[in-house]
Amino acid sequence: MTTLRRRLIVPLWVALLLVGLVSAAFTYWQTREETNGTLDYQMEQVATFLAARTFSIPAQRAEMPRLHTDHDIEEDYIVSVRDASGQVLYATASDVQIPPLSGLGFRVERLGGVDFRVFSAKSGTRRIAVAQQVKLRRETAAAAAVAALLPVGLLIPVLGLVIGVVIRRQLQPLAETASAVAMRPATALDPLPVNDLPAEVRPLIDEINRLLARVAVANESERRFIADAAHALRTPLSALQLQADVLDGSQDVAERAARIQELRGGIHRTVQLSQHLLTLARSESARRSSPGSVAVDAAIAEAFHVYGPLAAARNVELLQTATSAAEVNADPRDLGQILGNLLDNALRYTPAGGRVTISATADSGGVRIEVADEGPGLPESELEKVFQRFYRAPDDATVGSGLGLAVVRGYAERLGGRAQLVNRTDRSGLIAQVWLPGGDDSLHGKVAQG
Amino acid sequence: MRILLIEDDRMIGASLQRGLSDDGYAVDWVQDGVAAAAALRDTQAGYALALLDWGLPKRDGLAVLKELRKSDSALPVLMITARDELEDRVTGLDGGADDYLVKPFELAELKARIRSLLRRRERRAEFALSHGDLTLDLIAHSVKLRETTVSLSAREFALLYALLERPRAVLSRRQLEEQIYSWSDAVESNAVEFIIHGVRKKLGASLIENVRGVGWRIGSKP
Repeated sequence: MTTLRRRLIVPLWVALLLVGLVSAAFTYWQTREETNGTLDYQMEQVATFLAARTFSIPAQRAEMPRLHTDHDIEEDYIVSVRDASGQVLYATASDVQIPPLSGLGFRVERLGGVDFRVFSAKSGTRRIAVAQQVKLRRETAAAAAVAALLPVGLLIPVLGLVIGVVIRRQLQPLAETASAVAMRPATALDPLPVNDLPAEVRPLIDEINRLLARVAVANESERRFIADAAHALRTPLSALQLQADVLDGSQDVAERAARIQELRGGIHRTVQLSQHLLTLARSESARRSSPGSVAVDAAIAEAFHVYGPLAAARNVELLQTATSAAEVNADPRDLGQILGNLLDNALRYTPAGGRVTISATADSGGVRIEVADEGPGLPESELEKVFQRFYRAPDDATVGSGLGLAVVRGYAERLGGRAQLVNRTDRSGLIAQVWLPGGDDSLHGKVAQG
Repeated sequence: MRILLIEDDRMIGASLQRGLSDDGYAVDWVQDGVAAAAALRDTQAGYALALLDWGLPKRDGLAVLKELRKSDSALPVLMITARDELEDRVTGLDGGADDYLVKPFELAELKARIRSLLRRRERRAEFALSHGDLTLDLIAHSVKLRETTVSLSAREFALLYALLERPRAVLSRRQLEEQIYSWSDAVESNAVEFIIHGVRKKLGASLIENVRGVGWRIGSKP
């Protein structure tokens, strides 16, 4: 994986190098041209100087002045001054002599096996020629060009270094954040620090912090669930322990049988509680139930089938007062859990000879299921509290886990619905109301009917 | 020995009542805070100890305990609760509990703690009561007469314990019944005589004296 730093530095350095090379090449070429121009100008100056001098015959060694260069003319130039007849009036003393040349201006001549740049000029009847070694000229131009390149050559590495430092410094908060995340224990869910972070990175860290907060909430709810469950298990486990302990205390056969029966009851209660805990954990899990439509009537019929014997044993009449052909978007097992827990509660609190009614009616795009019992009802202040898991109303004398309604609400909300309790107005008793959003089919059916 | 059991869970309460009755305690069982407070206000009930659950319907166990201590009662109270945090234990003990037991617990431990509290109440160093050649071992619930172990029923033991606890006192039928039977026991009119008859048969007739018209007391040393 490439780092952001490398991604920034490599293109910048490449660009810097390219710009440096192009500008160096341009500077080199331009400086050389300028130097050549200057050297040519100097040759013209020499020629002008010679034109102004008088020479006597035979050719005498001229007293050459110093020109604008640091070099003696004789070192750098070969010159010749001839009269109209071609007679040499003046020439530098050197191995190579400039032959009589026709034409004027600059050209390159090969003299004595070496390339010279030659400038020819005419002054009156005299012909003046100034020559300079091409090699020497090139060396001068190159030296000038290299000197001109020096600033560029220094600038590029310095700029490269600056870029590296700046990028490193600007990415430092990111590196610090990364190491802060790396050193974090799995249990640390407090938000990452956001000071000093560039605005572009802030949203990412903010999102991570939001995720951490969600994880913390989920963790906390799980921790609470486990603590609640452990606490709730203490009572039935204590009972089991004591029920087993008192088995030893009696030799009487009938008494022992009674105590074993109590132990069985304790085991049954513990098993039921653990099952309720599992159901509740499932209802509160984030997993979406598998999509599918289930007919409410069929689910109610199924629940009646399951709870019919219990109702009969308690001499309570189980009755469906309103039916709905509607379907809800739910896993049949989830709806079964809701109905089962509601019926279980209603049967638990309805006295013998009473009646539990269930109804299902289409309501605002979904289905409203109501289970009414003939129990004592609840004070208004308790109606919401009893949905808390493990909560038991103060005067509740029945044996229960305190989880039934928490399970109902958990499933209802998972299916996108609601659950609440209201007291009956016609008599004592409670009505448990669950609203569930309708399945796609029932919505279509509604449109077709409408 | 009469114990007040305050516990709202039916299964736990039933087992505790059975288990303690097996050892000859008379156990009265109430299931909510209001009934507990009422039972504790009854100073005639003669409770030797109270087992108090913290989480109770109607009234919190701790509130019941504080009210008991406010009324200047020194009744030993053993709290039994599912709350196991350090602060809970501290709150419970500071609230007036003499001991604290966290659910789930074993019956044997509860019984040992009850004995320990009772011994402390009676300022005794040992878990035994002696009368001449007769020794009541309160832990093993056994009775020894001249090195011979005599087997007594739980009620016989409870009656003997009640008499030996206050050697010079004459206990009425009602006082003895209270030490032997809980509210839930159906007591027949001659039950005390029946138990005394059993004890005399096993340990000698002179051990328990009848004070006509008043009750019974422990007799001359056997």
